[in-house]
Formats: sequence, C-alpha cells, structure tokens
Amino acid sequence: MTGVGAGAKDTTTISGRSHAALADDFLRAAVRFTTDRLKDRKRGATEELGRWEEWRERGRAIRSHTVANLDHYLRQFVANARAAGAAVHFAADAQEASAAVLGIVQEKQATLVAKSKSMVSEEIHINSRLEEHGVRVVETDLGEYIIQLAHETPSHIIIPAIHKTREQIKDLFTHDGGQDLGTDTKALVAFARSKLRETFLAADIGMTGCNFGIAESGSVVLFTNEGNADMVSALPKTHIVVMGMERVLPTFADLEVMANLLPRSATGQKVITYMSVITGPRRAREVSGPTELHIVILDNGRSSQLGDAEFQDVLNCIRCGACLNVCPVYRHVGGHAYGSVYPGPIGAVLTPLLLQGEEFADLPNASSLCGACYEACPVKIPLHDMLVALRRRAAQRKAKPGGVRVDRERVAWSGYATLFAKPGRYRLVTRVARIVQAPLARDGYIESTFGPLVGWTGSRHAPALAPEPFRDRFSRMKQDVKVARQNDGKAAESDPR
Amino acid sequence: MNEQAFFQNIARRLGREFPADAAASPAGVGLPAEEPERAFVGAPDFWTARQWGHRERLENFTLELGRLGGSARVYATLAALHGGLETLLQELSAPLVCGWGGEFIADMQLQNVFDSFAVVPWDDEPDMAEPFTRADVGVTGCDFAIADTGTVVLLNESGQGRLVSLLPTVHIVVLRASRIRTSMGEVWREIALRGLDPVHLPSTVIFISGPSRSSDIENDLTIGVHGPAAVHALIWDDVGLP
Ligand code: SF4
Repeated sequence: MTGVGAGAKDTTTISGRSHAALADDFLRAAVRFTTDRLKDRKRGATEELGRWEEWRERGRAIRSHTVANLDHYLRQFVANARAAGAAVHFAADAQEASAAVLGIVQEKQATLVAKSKSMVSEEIHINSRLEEHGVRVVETDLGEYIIQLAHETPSHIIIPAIHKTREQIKDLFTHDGGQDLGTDTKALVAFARSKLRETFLAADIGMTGCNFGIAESGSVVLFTNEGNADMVSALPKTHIVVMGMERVLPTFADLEVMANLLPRSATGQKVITYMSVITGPRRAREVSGPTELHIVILDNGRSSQLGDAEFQDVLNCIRCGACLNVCPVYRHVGGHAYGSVYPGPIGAVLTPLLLQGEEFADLPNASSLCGACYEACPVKIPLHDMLVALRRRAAQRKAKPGGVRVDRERVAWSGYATLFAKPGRYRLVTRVARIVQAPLARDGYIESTFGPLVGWTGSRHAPALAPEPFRDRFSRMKQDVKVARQNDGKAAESDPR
Repeated sequence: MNEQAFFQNIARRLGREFPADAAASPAGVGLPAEEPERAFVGAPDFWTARQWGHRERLENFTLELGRLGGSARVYATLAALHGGLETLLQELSAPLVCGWGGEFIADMQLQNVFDSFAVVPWDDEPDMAEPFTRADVGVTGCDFAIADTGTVVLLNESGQGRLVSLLPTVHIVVLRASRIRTSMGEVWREIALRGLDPVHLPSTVIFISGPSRSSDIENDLTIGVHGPAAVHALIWDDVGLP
C-alpha cells in the first residue's frame, strides 16, 4: 500500500489543502453521479425480479444461519476443499495471512503475481508485503489496475477508481507504456486488455479473494464482470485464495440466492458476467489450470463478533457496496476520507470492530444514522443500530472509572472530541457534521430533537458550522493550486505516507 | 495459526465445544458428523416452483442474452446450424479458431465445419495450450443454459478446456435447446445428482452471461475487457415443440 488517498493528504499547508479540495470537487461529482446511477439501476433490477423483500429476508436468513453455525460449515468447507486437493492455511490476523501468502510465493520462487480484486487482500496489505520481498504484484481488475498505477487505494468497494477522470487514466496508461492513447474508453480498455494479457500469461501465481465458499463441495466461487478472476485462476501454475472466514455458504442452492442478490445490489445487474466455481486444483486428467490451489482463511477480528448479539450479523455482509451508494455521508466525501480499507456505512461499522483500539474508534461518527444503509442492504444488516451501539460503547469506554451513568450528551460529544483531535479525519468530520445538521440548522443554530445531536443540543444551542467555506475561496484556491503545481509538479500529488 | 485452535475459538465464541481431537490427524479436520437443522435451503418456494415450458425457456434465454450484449440464433435443424456457424466464421474471417474437442465435435457433428476452418480442437494433450492463448475465436458447447439470465454453464471436463471460452476475442457457443433450464437452482440440482465429490464435480464450473464488461472508466460501459468481447449462441432446437 503506497498511499491512502485524499483523506490523508497534507492538510497543514494551503497547497496541500487546495490540492485535496480541488480533487474533491471532481470526486464529489463523480461519486454522486456513480452512486445515483448504481442506485437507479438497482431499483430497476430489483423491481424486475419482484418480491425483493422476500429475497432479502431469505438472504438474511441464509447468512445468519451460516454465521451462527460457522464452526460446522467452515469445517465442512475445509474438509471438502482438502478432499478436492486444495491446501488450506489458517491465519489469526493480517500478519499471519500475509506471512502464509509470502511463504507460498517464496517456495515457488515467484517473481510475478497477478491479482483479481479482493477487499480482503487490501485488509492484509499483501501487495506491499510482497513488493518488499521483490515480488511484482499486478492488479488486473481494470479499476484496481488504474489506482495501482496511481499509487492509490480503492475509494469504492465495487468501483475502485470512481474518483479518476479519463484524462488522468490516459496519463497513467501512457506512463505505463501506452502510445498515442486518446481518452476514448475503447482505446484505454484495449490498452489495458493487451497489457494485462501479458501479465496473466507470464504470472507465476494468481491471487484472488473468495466471494463464497461452498461447504457441501469445498468450492471457491468468484464473481467478476471482466473475467479477470478467471484468467488469474486459470493461467498461472499456482492459485492462492485469500478468504474471510465468514465467507461460507452451506449449499449451491443457497448460492442461487446470493447470485440473485449480489449483482443486483452491487451494480443493478441482473446477473454477474462470470461466476466461476473452483473446486480444487486441476485434476490428473486435465492439461490446464493451476497444479496447486492454496486457500488462506483469515480471522482478523471476525471471530470476536461471533456470539455478540449486537454485532454478529455484521458477518452476514456480502460486500456488495449498496450501503455506500445510499449513504449521504459517503456520497458527499467519497471513500478515501474514511481512511480505512472498507469505506461507507459497512466500513464505519466493520473497521472499528475488526481493528479494535482507538485509531478507528471515531468512524461510527461518520454517519447521519438515517438508516438508508439498512434499507439498501440485501442481507438486512442493521448497520444504523450497530453504529449507535458502537458510539455507545466508545462513550462507555471514556466514562470515568466509577462513574456509572453514561449520559446522552457524552455519547453525542465523544465522537466529536476524538475526531477533532485528529487532523487526518478533520475534513470528514466537519462534512459529516454539516450534512447531519443540514435539515436541523435554523438561523445558524442547531436545534435538534432527534438524531445524533439530541443529547448535545437537548440542553443547549450549538453554533452551526460555517456553510461550505470552501466554495467562497474556490477561485483563489484554484490559483494557489496552479502556482503550487508549477512549483512542485507531481510531488504534491503523492502521499506523505 | 493452529487449525484446532482456530476452530476451537470459533466454536467457543458461539457457545459450543469443538471436538477435542477433530483436527488431530495430520490431514486436519474431517467432515462434521451431523448437519445443523435448517428451516429451508436455497431460494424461496415461489422461485423454485416456477415451471417454464420449452418455448418460454428458449425465448427467454434468447432475449436475455441479447440484453447482455450477446446474440442468439435458433435453428430448426443441425444442418441449418452448421450453415449458420460457417457464415459466422466466414464473417469473422479469424486467422486462428479453436474449439472444444472430444465428444462435443461428434455430438454436434462439427467435424466438417472444423476441418474447413482449420479449427484447433482441445484434445487434452500436454503442452497443447499454446495456440489457445493466440486464438481469435473459440467455439464451445455448454452443459446447461439458463433462461432466466441468458447464461451458459460450462463444465471443465475432458475435451472441454476452460481456456477455449476465456481467451479468444469472440466466443461462439453451440448448444441444444433441450439443455436450457429455467433457473440456476435447477442446474445445481442436476449437477448435484451426478455428485459433488471431486470425482464427479469438475475443477471448474463456469457461468457465463454475455460478453466481458467493465464500467471502471468514468462509468462508461465497455465490453471485452479481459474475457471475450462478443458471445454468440447458436441453438439447435432439438425439441421443436410449439
Ligand atoms: S453491509 Fe449490506 S449493503 Fe453494505 S456492503 Fe455489506 S451486504 Fe452490501
């Protein structure tokens, strides 16, 4: 991981702020446009299917049942995968998982790894780990490839390069060897296709995530629209799968439900273009396909949610991104502002749960608690309830020793206190505050009788934040940026970390 | 991490005991003995209970594949299908065409067409894969198709190399109308009847719905990113019912 994007850009200098702000202007428009489009298409696709609420309920029930019996289904999955010839590895945390992957890569003396999009591989920071050891890792999902060339991280879990313009993409591809590329989508895609085709054929190892593991057969199921997971799992001699331990389904019959829910919720597609079901490495009689299949199963904080009535259902998540598309906060700030691998409402819940400690304890405040995420979720995860519960827990942790009463004011304030203490997330927070207060502010004062500010403003008036100060200074900043760009060239674009 | 400890932790969090010796063997955990009770499995009843007739399946498959940017043509006889395939291959005038080998060629009586277009068949010989990485067109059959979604289902078995449908720019699928099922669930039920053990379930089962696509560049939908840019289905209506 070489960068964490706009959210962590230098905000202490005018040029740093301006860069971030200007970039944000496109980002905001792009995120709104894309999320609107995804939302509309999802509505169309779910209406066409019909009885969506029954599908959602079935999706929830299947995932809840699986997670509640994870000891059983994961064991069944592992035993069957081994019977089909896969090697299975267990990792308690990100460190163990990346060590397991590195071990396989080194044993194969691999120098080139082709990868298809996988959030869990972001979670274990495998790319930087492998690169430290001289192994080249190439992302092959078109969007991931673009942001890898830009040394950035995904800003959306389904459309990672949502924040990149075609001009920027053209420049990145030209830098990567493209000649006379226009900004025409076809030309750009044709370049990526031929460039990455070489990678697929040359790679020693293919690495993928796992959308679903099927317990009854030990199969790994991959969903892509581009076909890159197929390339990655079919061409190199070794295939490594990194999967979250909760990513299991009991049967193929259950997979049909997810195959109906996931693409509709993610992009409004009725069906994913490629659904590949992989069971073990190539069989003795086969002449193509990997000779070794390794499955690395990752815990990394997931098991701590099991048995916790408030949070166990977060493991139902099928990573569709629908909750991002409807979230007023995500739509306003985009994915990088969260500073975490998983953005949006699911990120605001999952990140502090998986990575306990103070670093991400403030993320649950990046929400307006409007409940749109729950409405959108195909497996009915009550994200808004979880956000409230996380805030409550954070406030309880801060309660003085011996003090029993955790008042509502403390809950309202705690987030702001920790947030304002952190320059990295300052912009996200002020924005969230602005979005949250928008329907509440009158005459520059916030009067709230509901929502997250009630504990705070129930007893006093809070001064409203200045509306969009950025806009007033827009033209002056634009000039600043121009000068700054001339001065420091691309340097200011690169990330301080 | 130690396998036994990994599972023990999961079971403990869920308020259960994990059998003390379950992962003791060098082969790791074995299959659990009993299935947890479930109220239901898979899709809702209203979905699995649907019964589409032959014509409805055929028409819906054709329609859906078209919506995905693919194309489908229906032929009343196998000879007419051969004519359609020849016309298509002529139009494409591809320098290198590859195809499934083995039973597929005999089953669809494709030998003559394959000969006249010098189609390289997948014959399961070691080191045969190279031409397949260069082919412009791949001709395959499919084991099932799905009317709901315009999907073709390919099982990676002998003669049915996975690369044939994956690497070329154009994918041509030749199939019998009688292979079209209503939904994905039906396909899985039939595959399960053959057995889900490693002997009966092939290493890959691929569900392909139209050409490869991406919207990663400014939301602009393009096809042919990694997989084929065109998918043509040539269907022999071997049932022929009205
Ligand atoms: S929480 Fe629900 S809506 Fe959000 S990504 Fe997960 S499954 Fe999708």
